[in-house]
Amino acid sequence: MFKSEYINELISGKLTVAGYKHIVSVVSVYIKKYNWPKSIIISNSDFSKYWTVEEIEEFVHQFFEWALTKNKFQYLNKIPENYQSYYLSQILVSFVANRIKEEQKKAGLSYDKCRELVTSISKENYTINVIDGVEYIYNKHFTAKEILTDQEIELAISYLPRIPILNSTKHYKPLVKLAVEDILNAAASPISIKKMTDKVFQLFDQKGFIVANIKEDSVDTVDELIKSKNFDHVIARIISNLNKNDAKILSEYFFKNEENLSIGKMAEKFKMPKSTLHQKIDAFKKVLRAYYIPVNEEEGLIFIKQLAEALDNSSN
Amino acid sequence: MKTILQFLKDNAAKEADITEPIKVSDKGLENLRDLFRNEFPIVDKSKYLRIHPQVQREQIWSVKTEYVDFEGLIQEIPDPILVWISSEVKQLEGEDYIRVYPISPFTELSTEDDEICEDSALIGFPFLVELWNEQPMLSELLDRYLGFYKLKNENFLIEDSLKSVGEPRAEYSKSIIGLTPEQEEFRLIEISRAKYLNHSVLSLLSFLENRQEQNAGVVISWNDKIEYPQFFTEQHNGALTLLIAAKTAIDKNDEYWLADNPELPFKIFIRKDKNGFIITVMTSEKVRLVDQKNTELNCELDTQRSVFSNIDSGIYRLFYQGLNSPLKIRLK
Repeated sequence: MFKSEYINELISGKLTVAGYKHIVSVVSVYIKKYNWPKSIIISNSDFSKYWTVEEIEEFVHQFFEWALTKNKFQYLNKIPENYQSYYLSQILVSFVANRIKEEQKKAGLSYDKCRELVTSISKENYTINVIDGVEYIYNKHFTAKEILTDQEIELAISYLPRIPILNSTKHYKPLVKLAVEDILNAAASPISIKKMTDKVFQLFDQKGFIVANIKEDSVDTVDELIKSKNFDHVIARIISNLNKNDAKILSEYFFKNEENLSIGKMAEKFKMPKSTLHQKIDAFKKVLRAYYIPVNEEEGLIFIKQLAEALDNSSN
Repeated sequence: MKTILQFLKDNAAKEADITEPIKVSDKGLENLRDLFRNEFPIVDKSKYLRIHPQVQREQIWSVKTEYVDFEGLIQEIPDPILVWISSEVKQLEGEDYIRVYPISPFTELSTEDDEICEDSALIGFPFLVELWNEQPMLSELLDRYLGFYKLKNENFLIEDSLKSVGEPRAEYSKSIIGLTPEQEEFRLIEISRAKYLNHSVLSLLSFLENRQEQNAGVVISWNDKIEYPQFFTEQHNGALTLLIAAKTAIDKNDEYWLADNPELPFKIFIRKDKNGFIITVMTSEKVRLVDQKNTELNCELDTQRSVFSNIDSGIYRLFYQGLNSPLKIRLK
């Protein structure tokens, strides 16, 4: 539990070593207790599941940056002293829940999750028969004779409309259920659970996760511009929210990092917290992904060259 | 949302008392200090106004994290609870009680129909009034006054609208809203946590049910055990009646409660006269009796007993060297 004395130290900008150790230690206990994934750290590139102390410190920093941005401490003096510790835990947990949710949104529906849902829906709602060691499902009792060939099934379901999964999609199970039903109705044949999983997964349209945050009308315009290999307008949009300093940092990080400096070293160079730099880079990557996906390598290289020049110009 | 539910279920705040030795970097500390250095240039030292107004409807209070219930058992909650008062103060056998809705900072788990106050300026953060979780509680559990909040949806408090449905309020609300599994689990956790509040009234009811006499009752508790001492009425012979009547104003019937438990190193007699209760502890060893305000009561000693007289209703702690923890005596 966070101690009130250290919360007050922190808020007044006079955090002591003991206070800092305490805060990092409490967060560390939460991380271990609840097995929080490392993906909640922005721009974490290390895929090992074990947290290092540096990563916990980084996470602590990102948490407080977020809390300040959201004005979570603006009225701390109004919160009863014996509630402050609980309050800090509460906003930490809310922050983590939010991050996990964002990460899930980025990922969309994974194949593993899809398989898990198809299996559970099959058991709950359909008849399962094991034929030659393979589990088949259908919406009524069936025999091996009723199973159509792969080509017949492929043809029957090829006309099914794709089911979009959007950033706003909260629960995947109803969609998977719908997809299983559509496939079985269209195929009019028992289907193996493995094949059903493949088909359900293919039926989902997850491009919403790649081109998130772009309004429909702007997508068309941007596509047109990309086709003509003139990226000026796209690049102008990408860098429109960058100030001179940010442009310089990003230009250096992406295009002039000849010494191959780590983010930590870059942060030192630009005299800013590592997490802030992480956040800037991550935000830029998101905008980049949202506005432009190269059709091929050649086009991608042209785009990168023009983007580098544009960043360079903005930073001067 | 599972992260939040896991936290709420585990009473995590208290368990995280266990911290671990950790080697941190100087740079990390410096960065965090910098982050806050200019954020709050004037730190408001005036903590919450320590006013203690008369308890009324629509007030927000924090609740004590520990209390001794009516039967003398200690009740604790790891995470503090805030409540919004939904009724005026009522009385049950002379004890003040109110009806309240707990308040939660986890607004992420609210439904469209929930009452949410977005204004952080009121108690420091946005909150959700758990209108589906109304609970009775003794007023003595209220700890600190935090503010006043008027519900946006006043209609909710019109009892008639609920009476016409003929359902308890919690069930009524639940049935009309389509809850996600997370919201449903959140509500169940919160309702379960709120048992801490309603237990104060339930223990009072239990006391009233089990009390030995219509007008008075005594319960003793120690080491999480509760005992309602037996009540006796004995008739004195004529010669003694006059003596007792003159000295103690007790009528010719000697009425007393007797706690005679083999686990206790002494017997306790409790009587009641017009000046209040009289507690007689049958031991030659020293005992101390302390009231709720930690004031030690005067004692008359002789070689066999310690007698405490003129005691008001309330809960008292009896300290004796041979007992690990004090014995609690509730008189009413």
